[in-house]
Amino acid sequence: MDNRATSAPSPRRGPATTPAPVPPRRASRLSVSGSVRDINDYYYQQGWTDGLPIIPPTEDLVLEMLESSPMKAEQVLGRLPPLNGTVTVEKVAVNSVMAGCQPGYFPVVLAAVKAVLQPQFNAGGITTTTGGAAPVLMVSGPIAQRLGINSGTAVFGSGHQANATIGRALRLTMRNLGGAVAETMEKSTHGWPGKYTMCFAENQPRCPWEPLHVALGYPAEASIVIVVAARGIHTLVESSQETGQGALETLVASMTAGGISGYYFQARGASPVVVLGPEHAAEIAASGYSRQDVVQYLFERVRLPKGVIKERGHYGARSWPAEYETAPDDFMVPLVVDPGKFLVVVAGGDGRHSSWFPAWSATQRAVEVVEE
Amino acid sequence: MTVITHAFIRAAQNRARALGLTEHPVVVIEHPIASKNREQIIQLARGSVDQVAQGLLAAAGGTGNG
Repeated sequence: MDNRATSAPSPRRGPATTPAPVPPRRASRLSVSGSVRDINDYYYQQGWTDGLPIIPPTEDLVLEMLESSPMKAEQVLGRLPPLNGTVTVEKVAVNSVMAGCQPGYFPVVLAAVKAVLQPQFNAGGITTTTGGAAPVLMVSGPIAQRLGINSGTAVFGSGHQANATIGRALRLTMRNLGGAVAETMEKSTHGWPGKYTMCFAENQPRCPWEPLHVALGYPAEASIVIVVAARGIHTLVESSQETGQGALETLVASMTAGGISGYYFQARGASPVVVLGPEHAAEIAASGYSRQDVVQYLFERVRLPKGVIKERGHYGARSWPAEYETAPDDFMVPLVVDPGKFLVVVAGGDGRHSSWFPAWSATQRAVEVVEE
Repeated sequence: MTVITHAFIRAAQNRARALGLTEHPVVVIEHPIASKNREQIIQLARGSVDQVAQGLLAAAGGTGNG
């Protein structure tokens, strides 16, 4: 096999490669001879993959990806921290091909990349923290169903091409253009599988409330990508209580445990994401709660006494409102200082389970409209 | 002038290089700091203050890029 693969980073010299002329502001061209396995081995050795096989980003496949977006290949989207690689539409297309995206997914990937480039998202911090932060992509709007982004059974699991590859394309972009590579810039103590991919959609057919993007102020016909930085997933079951009220109480109990960094780092305004399973969501709605009511309920109750979290967790490096310093030990410290920081999403299949993503704290969520 | 813990040496070097600050003065202190109390942090600061001063003076003297 002799493929002309388009590389995202500048290629280093290797025995099976030859450099080729590069038009201005376009990604480097690289000729690699050998089998698909040889090409994958080469990409892995260069540090350009996440350890899983990639699809070689040949020029025809990259062009096909580019054709599904109105944006020009050479358009610069920004510089991606921590290593400040220049992000062009074409380089994102290269990483999208490598990740296995269908061309139709590309506008969503571009929106996600633009979101992580927003300064308040703090892409550099997410990479370099020991706190194990990874981007969680949520898609809301008509495009989610059109692309087959899973919002139902095993919503965070495997087996859905759109979920698997859109999230992976973002992560490969962060790796190859931002330098998110373990032991160089990436410093997570543990990390979590969201470092490979984490993308899902709201289960609109089973959501008892208005669509998430409408709740956030976008037109019904718009499609948006919301990106938050999370430290992992916390799942919970509530199958004994018979009402939505009971489900909410168990949810609050699961969010008021020790070692949750958000109680200590509040200054940046990170967003914990609560993902209600459809059965819980229906029960909660039947108990009279709107999505906004759930947010307010969580804001009022997801709190821990200052005396309980004092001298524990990240207390030594706390960043919270000044008045907490002089508050008594029975003062109830909220997980977030602003109720609007909670994101409540409905996703998943049958079963009385819900989840929440503990936010990594030195970040704010970012939203971009998908341009088609 | 940057102060880092030894766990972040490589990341700091890469970041400085990406910013074109190849001679940026860096002082490396013991890891971790998040679990240290105020007195321990002050002790660490006292132990590295001379190096920090040297780094700042070097930068001011034009030997660095920062």
